[in-house]
Amino acid sequence: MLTGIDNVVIIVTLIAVMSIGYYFSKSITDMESYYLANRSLPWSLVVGTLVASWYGGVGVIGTIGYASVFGLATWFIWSIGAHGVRFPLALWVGPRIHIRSDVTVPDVIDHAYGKLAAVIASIFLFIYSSQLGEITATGFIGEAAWGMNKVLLGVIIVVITIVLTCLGGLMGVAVTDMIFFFFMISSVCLVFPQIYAEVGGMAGIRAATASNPAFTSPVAGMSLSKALMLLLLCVNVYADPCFYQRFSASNTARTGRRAMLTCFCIWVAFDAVTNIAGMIVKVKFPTGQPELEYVKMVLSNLPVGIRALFVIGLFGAIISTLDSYYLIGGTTLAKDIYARIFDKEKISDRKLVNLSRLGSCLLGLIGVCLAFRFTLVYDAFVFIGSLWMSTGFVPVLMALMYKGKMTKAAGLFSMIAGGISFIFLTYHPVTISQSFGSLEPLLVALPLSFICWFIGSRIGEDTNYDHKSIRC
Amino acid sequence: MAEDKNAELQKQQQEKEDMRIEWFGIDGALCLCFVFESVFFGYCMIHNVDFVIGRVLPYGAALVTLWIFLKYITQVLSFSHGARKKAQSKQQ
Repeated sequence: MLTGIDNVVIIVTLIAVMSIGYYFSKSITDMESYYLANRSLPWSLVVGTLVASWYGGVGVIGTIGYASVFGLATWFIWSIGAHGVRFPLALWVGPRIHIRSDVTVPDVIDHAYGKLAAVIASIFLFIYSSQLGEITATGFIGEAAWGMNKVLLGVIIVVITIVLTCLGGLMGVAVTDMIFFFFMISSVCLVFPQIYAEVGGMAGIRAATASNPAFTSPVAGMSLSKALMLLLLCVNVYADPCFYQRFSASNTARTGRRAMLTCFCIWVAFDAVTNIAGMIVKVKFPTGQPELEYVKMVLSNLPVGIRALFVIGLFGAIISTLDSYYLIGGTTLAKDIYARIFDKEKISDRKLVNLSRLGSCLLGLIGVCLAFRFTLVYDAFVFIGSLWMSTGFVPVLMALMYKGKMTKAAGLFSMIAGGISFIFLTYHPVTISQSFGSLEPLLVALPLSFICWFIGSRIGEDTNYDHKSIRC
Repeated sequence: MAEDKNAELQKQQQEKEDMRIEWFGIDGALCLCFVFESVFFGYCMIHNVDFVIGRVLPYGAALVTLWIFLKYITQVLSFSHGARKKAQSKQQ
């Protein structure tokens, strides 16, 4: 639990960090273009931006939760596998495909499959922007830090995020993200040697979990179904326009490629720290809620004042992630849903801002209502990611990569089949065998979406989709 | 006109050069670094090498974070300084 001094440190640091962010946002007038489209970022800044924006609250707290359930397999399968499947993205796909910053994912779908498919995709993209996992993580951190009710804290964080989103501006985006990330990772790494020694190292973890040897086995702790689903989920980033925008911000394709390869090396080490920390939580608090117990454990091991920085780092990372997604979701509601349904090519700036604000509020409401229904932070993250992947991944990927015939039916069939099969299997789980585990909905939804895309592409006229229109 | 063509050609050549993966350079080294880290840390986890897992890994990760953080702040400061100078010279 945090003391009065910690709370003072939190308030002072928050004001200081926000002032720094405000200072930079005022002095660097073209920071927005610098980050999005000017293609001027050197290697160190691309590494900093990628590392800070991808490794948020869910990255730390979520990995802890999964590691305490699946053990060492979380690192060997999820971490190594996740970064491994992204290597082609860094080496070949990222440098070759640069999506223009003014073309959104629904725009790509509209060009390839028509308006109806674009509206359906926009609705799923809007739901994806609610980022439930971040709000779930918020509840656990608040409960451990102040003993607060997690729903109440979730509401407070969502309100702060909506206020920040509605106020707009670049404050907090450029410099503050990196500061928050530095606080979070430094605290996690500095407290680790102490808690690791307390349980007696790897031998101590093995001895304490001797009744469940799969927990300390590199692969046996996770069912095949779960492992396949997680590996598939990692591929989702191939259809993520935000990634391409970040990649495009580097001054050359070579810089972007090397920055991403550097990030893989950094992330795999961080993941190893958080994975073992999750296993330590399981040993020390076998019946406790892992995410909650981890935050409590870190707070009790860090000195007064420093632990406040850990909490700021976690909340900062969560708010900055939510902030960006609420902006994306708000814009999706205004430009990709409202404008398409009512056939308005150009909405006035005022209406766009108001609709975006409404979208942010709706996302906040969805987030608070659903986030705390999940036991683990990663469960929320996996659910929302899988839903988007089941519906949007195949149409987007085929629109980007496939050069043959493309029809309206292909996009619609693919999205409907993926979405329905995912929802059906989520609410009616099927267990195949003990070793395979329960059939993950994504494992059925994704192939079905592919099959239906190919069937649909044989029905109707070619949309004559011009691939060059979305490439730089 | 000829200058424009020349610049365009140079740009295309530079882009082509940027796309080339240097397997025996930094790109290859970074790929190898990932493989090495995965194998090395994996081996240490399986074989209970506590010095690496308990010390080298967290302190190494913290040091790398500090290095990126300092480099990031230095770059942003120099960018900010450059932008302000540019704005001042524009005003003058």
